[in-house]
Amino acid sequence: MGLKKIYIIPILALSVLTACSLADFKNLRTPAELVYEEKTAEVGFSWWGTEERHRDYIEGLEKFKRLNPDIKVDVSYGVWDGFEKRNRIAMVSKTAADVMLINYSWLDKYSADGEGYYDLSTLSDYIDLDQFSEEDLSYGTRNGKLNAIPIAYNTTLFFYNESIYNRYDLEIPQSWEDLFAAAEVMGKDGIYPMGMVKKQFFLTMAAHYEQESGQRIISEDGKLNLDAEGAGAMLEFYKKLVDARVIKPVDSFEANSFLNGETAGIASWFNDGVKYGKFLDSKGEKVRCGPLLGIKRKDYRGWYKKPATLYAMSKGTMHPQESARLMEYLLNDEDFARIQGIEKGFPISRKADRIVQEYCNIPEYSIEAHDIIRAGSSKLEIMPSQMENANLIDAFCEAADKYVYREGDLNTCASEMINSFREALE
Amino acid sequence: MENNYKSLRFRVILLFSLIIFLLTIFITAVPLRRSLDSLRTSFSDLMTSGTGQLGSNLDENFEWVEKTASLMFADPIVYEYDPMKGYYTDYHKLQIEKQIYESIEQLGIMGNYVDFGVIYSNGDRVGWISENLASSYINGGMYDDFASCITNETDGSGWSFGHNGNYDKFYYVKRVNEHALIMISFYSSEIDEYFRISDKVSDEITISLVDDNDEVLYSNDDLTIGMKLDREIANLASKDTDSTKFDKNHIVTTCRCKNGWRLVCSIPQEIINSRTVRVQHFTLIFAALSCIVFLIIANLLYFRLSRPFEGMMTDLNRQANYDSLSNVLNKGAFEAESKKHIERLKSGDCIGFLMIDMDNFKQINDNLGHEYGDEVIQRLGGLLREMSSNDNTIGRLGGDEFAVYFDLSKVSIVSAERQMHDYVDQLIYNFSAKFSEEHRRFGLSLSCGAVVAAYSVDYDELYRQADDTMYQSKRTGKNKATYKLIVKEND
Repeated sequence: MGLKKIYIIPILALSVLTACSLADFKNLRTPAELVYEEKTAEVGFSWWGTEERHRDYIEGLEKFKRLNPDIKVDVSYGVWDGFEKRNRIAMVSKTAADVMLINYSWLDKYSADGEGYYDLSTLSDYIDLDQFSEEDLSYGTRNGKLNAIPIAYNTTLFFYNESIYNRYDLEIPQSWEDLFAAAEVMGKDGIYPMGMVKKQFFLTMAAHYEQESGQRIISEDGKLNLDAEGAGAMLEFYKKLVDARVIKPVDSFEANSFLNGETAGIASWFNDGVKYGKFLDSKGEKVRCGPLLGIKRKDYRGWYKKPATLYAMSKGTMHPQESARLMEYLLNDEDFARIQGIEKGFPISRKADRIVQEYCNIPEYSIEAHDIIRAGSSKLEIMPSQMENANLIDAFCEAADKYVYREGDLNTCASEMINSFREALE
Repeated sequence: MENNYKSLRFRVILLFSLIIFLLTIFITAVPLRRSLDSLRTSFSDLMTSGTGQLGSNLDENFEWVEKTASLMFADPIVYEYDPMKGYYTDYHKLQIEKQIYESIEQLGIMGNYVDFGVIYSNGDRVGWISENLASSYINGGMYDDFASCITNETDGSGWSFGHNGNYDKFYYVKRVNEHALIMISFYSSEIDEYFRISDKVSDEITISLVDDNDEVLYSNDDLTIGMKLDREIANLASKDTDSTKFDKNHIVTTCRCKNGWRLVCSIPQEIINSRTVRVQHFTLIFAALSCIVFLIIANLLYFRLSRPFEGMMTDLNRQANYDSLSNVLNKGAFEAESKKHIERLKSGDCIGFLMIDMDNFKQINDNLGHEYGDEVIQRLGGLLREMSSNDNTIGRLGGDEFAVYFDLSKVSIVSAERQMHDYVDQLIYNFSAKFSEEHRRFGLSLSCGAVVAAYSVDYDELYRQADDTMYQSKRTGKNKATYKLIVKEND
């Protein structure tokens, strides 16, 4: 019996070894699946902006992908010029990205009835809406539907190279008259006290007109409230600025002129001003953000504020929950708040704002700019979306060029401008 | 004979085990070596095909950009406009630049471009030239810098990288006319997805996009971007053909893109080797276990099969060495055993030798028959066996003559003598008790001759001395023992 037991041990061992080897062969014979990638949801994200913004998003999304391996983010981005058209194509062809950075004016354009974008209030389990006040969210709400969440507030701001102003013993301009006075002094050396690109140019001319006339260009119901005479007044003021060498003709101005000292000031959005400030800081120049310009000092008439940009979600998204997770990351995540800093302005999200205030290096001119926006929050009206209509702005610039370069008289240019305005706003 | 047999058996088992062991190593090592070669070839094939596919994807990306730039020529104003020619008014220039801008906007609208514009030798720019790039050429030089990147003189185009430290973008430039270039750039992260595919196969595969100077333009190893390709890998990477090369440290596959850049895919050989380690361990453990199991079974079978032979060997051995009647060693075996012991003795060791002969044994044979005589011899053998210990060897030297060899090497000569006396007294006493009837009727008794030697003495001498002493007992009255001590003369 004992001997038999001895035999059983090796027989059992041999059986186990044989079973092991056969099990292996069985695997080889059975159809197998090699899974190289977990199932992921593809979420599209589109934005426009400068290189700073592109880099922030690319870095931030790398981090997001690492934290959320089940979500793959397809990006689509470009510069502002042309992006409006790109967005329009995407919206009308129903190929918009799941998550979109949108301009404030697009809300009325694509979702006046609240049906153009996804209702984000249904995704409050994923997006922490408590970080925003009701007033903040109201800017993104249309017809009771939360279509978009604002990121930061913005208005036209005036940044100055204070080093140049100091050189001429000049104060930072507080009014239009101060600008003309500065031009008289700096103009001798070929320096312009101010510069502005297309959109800021239009908004600035409009602000001056509204201050002078006491009338809005776009009425509260979104209608054009400007006649040929008013258009002529705007064009004349522009020509006055050019003739007095306060500004360069708008099409010959580019931001580099501010960076290389050809102009001592620039009208821009918050984020652009901060970007220019950083560049001039690195060259040892001192940058300041001056008050909104008016006929008299501290005149807020004619200037408007707006949510700088907003995040919206495509109405037809196949992945609302994953898109909401991405949106939550972009709005409220600590890591992304640090990456983004004040690139779009001081965040509206309380959590992101707290992170930015605590951890980000904020230059003085940014705080000045932020104070202007904050101080104006009660005095500035919300910008009518029509004020950012690209066709409207193009029409104004075209008429302005024609008039300044003497390709047409004032009445002709003003009439053409009004006609183009009406077409653009139809 | 039994020892010889055991030794032979041990050698057979050892040789057999060794052969099995070597055979196991052989049949394990050969497939393992083959599997390593096969894995290396598979990796190489995979890398060649993967790099080729990646190259095609990249070519598509680059060609898309090149085609976009070529489409700019659809509008003649783009290549006809030369701001260096002095016949344009400022307003006319503005109108033309607007037209060019519209072309750019139309063509670039769906692309993720960072820069897309026309740059002129007088410093003018039209289109989406990023402020970052523009500000890095704030003192001029942008046109000349990009003009120097034209590498294809036939179509006046070229790809470049790292302008003013911008290592995260690729630039394409194409000459429009004598004083104008189209320039398009996009982030290298746009092609990142292709490079990450390798991570799913092995995170040790490094794929790098390099230029002719072996500068890394993009890689799944972020830290190498903007640096020179590792020298060892660069040496294996072909400059002009698609190829796969090996050395002892790396496998390197090269694929040339249509724009002249190259994709270099490399993997350390040690990674491939490490892939086989688990298989090797499993195979070796499996082979070792199989070898052990096989040896156990083989030896069990061997013992099982050899057991009948072993019994036969034991019987033969017994028949050859033992006296069948008394069941003690026969003369030859007793003599061989005693001699073997004597050879092992050291100088001064004591030994004892006792010769025993029965008195009047012939009377037993004559009166009670030979069968009874044989029974007496058998009973005496039994008595001697009963009294035996590990220190003594018993033998029947012939007829009614027995001998006992004593190993007294562990005791002094005095003790040795006493032990001999005690043994003989006990023997005579036991014999008298066992054979009292035979003694009464026929005078059966024992005559003994006991010798104790305390120096080296050979068997023959010992036997002769003990025999003489035993006959001395017979001559002097029988039924007694005579003792003799043999020592060196000076002891």
